[in-house]
Amino acid sequence: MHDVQIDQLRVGDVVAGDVRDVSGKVLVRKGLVLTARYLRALRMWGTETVAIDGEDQSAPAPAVTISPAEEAQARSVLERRFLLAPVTHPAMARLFELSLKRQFLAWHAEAGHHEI
Amino acid sequence: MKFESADDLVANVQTIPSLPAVFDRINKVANQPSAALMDVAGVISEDVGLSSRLLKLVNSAYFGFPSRIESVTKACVIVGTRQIRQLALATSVVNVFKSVPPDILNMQMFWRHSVGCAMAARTVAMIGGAQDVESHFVLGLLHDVGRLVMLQTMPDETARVIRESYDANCLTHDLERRRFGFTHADVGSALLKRWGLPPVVVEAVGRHHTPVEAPCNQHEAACVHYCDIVVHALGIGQSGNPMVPPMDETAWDVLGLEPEAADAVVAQLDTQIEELADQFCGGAQ
Repeated sequence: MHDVQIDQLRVGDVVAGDVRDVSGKVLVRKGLVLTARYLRALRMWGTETVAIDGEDQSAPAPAVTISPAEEAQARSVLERRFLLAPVTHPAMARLFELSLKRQFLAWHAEAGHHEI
Repeated sequence: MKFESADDLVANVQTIPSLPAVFDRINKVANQPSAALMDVAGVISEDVGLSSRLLKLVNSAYFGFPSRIESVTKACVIVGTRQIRQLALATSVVNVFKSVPPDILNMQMFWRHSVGCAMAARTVAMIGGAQDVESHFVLGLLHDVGRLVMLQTMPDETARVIRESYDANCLTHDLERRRFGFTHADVGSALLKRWGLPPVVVEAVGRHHTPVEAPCNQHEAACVHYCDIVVHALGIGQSGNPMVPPMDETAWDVLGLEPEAADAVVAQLDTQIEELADQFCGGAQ
């Protein structure tokens, strides 16, 4: 979770914490997927920053150390799952990378190295 | 028992579940030209179980409504009657299939896969600017319902096909087609048609593995096709199919998304699948 300036928000970002107006009234609840309509509304409401799920793209990556052996193991799990689904198309390549990242994080969470 | 086709299976088995009678009443009221929101809310409120499941759902963080919704009438006002009907359908179908034997397929894992696909479909619909995102949620939730019908009506044959897919690393729907001449997608589509659900639901469910063959609702079929792939890729729940299905590139073009759309889908699944899966299948064994 990280705060993002209103101008940096993108359609599809997931709101990580309730957005309130100055009086404390909830405008948008945690978990909402931002659409162009919500982005316009947030600007109209004068919101400056919104907490968004996921890693801060502008900050350095968190220090999750992955050994080459772990990486190879996660890749082989995923490659087996994707055996009949070629990852030549950019959409599938993206999905493979996301699944791989998720696999690492799940292992680290299980091992108590990292919380997700 | 041998069946000629998915329609034959759905038409000839006595044990095929039916949609709760409350749906007929909701649809009758809602389809009257003079239908008022209060009429629909009134019919839903008569069903205590349905009302409480619905209110829990619309008050979950996932749906993200800013204030607490305490009554079905208020839900219809805030969320919209059309959307409430969609969500009522979603929660009731899960309830209908609670009796499927858990020994072949773990029902909690099955619904987790389906809820994951539903959430993904709703997110994809939002990114694409669709008007009625709740209907996409329902499509995702129901996409594999045919497998439950098969498990109820031809349990041994269906279990064998699932086991063989796992042993041989192949797609369960390919094996179903070779073995039976139809797939779980065909059976799901036949069931939903029999239940009188709209053609978009029948088509999107029936064509989720072959989206470009959908005659009228290709976009919806493509949406479920992609979201099913996403949920398999992430390993969320279990559908009875061990492999990520291959993506139809024409279907991807129909969706008009950027590959990065997956980031938003995954982020939302990661934060909210637990709460929502629990709402839908907390009671399923």
